[in-house]
Amino acid sequence: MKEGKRSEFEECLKSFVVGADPPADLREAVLQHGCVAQQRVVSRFTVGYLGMLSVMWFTILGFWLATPRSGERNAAGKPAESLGSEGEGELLAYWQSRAAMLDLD
Amino acid sequence: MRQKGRMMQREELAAIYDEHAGAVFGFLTSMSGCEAGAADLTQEVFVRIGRRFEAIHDVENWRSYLLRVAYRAAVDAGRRREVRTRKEGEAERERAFCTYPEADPDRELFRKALEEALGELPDEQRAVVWMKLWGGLTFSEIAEAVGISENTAASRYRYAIDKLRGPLRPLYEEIR
Repeated sequence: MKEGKRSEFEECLKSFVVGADPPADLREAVLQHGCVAQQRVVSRFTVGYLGMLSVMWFTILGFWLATPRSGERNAAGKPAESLGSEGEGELLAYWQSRAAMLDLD
Repeated sequence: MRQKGRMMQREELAAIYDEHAGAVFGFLTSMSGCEAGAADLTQEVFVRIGRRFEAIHDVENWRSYLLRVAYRAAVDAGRRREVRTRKEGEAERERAFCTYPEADPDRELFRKALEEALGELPDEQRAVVWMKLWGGLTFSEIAEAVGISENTAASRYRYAIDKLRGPLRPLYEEIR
């Protein structure tokens, strides 16, 4: 777009300074609020990030605590490794021995 | 380190404010119709800049960028004022102080007539005239700031100048 040369009339209008000085206390208010606002954005971000990390770590810890360790028995009193094929055999043997003890056969 | 970063940002924001606050305040005074409203909007504009400073600190033309933000703030404020006026039936807005007084009596007369005539322009034409004449923006920058095409910006400017020429012609002949 060609800007074009200003006419004398436009130059005349331009010679009148349009505007006014902003109030003296506005500068400090702007600097204070502008910088505080940014600081708040940063701290809100940090809090959100740390919160997300904590939730993730607590979830991992929860899973880790809920997983039965080798040699431990679960809530039903069964051995922890009772789900594998080897464990199935052990479980069968365990119940067979229990049945023999109680003379259920 | 972060403290140093904040200080740098504060210094840069202060430098931008010192250079452009007068223009932003003048533009918003012309657009809002009162100095108190313009002061609030000027603060809003610079606080917005401060909030987004990390993302926008490398802006090339701050005058253009600030006037764009100021225009949007003025349009939003105008809408809020319109709703309030409709609800409460507020009186007509006070006449804005737009120009500095002149020592020469003929120029002083012209100045008052110019203020009056600027006040009569529709907001979108007054914004374009202000940005072009007193803000020093190109049509391309005005188009970007206002969200219109360059041709529309140029035609709004021409219409506005023609509207100003009418009532100001007799006084203009006196002072030229």
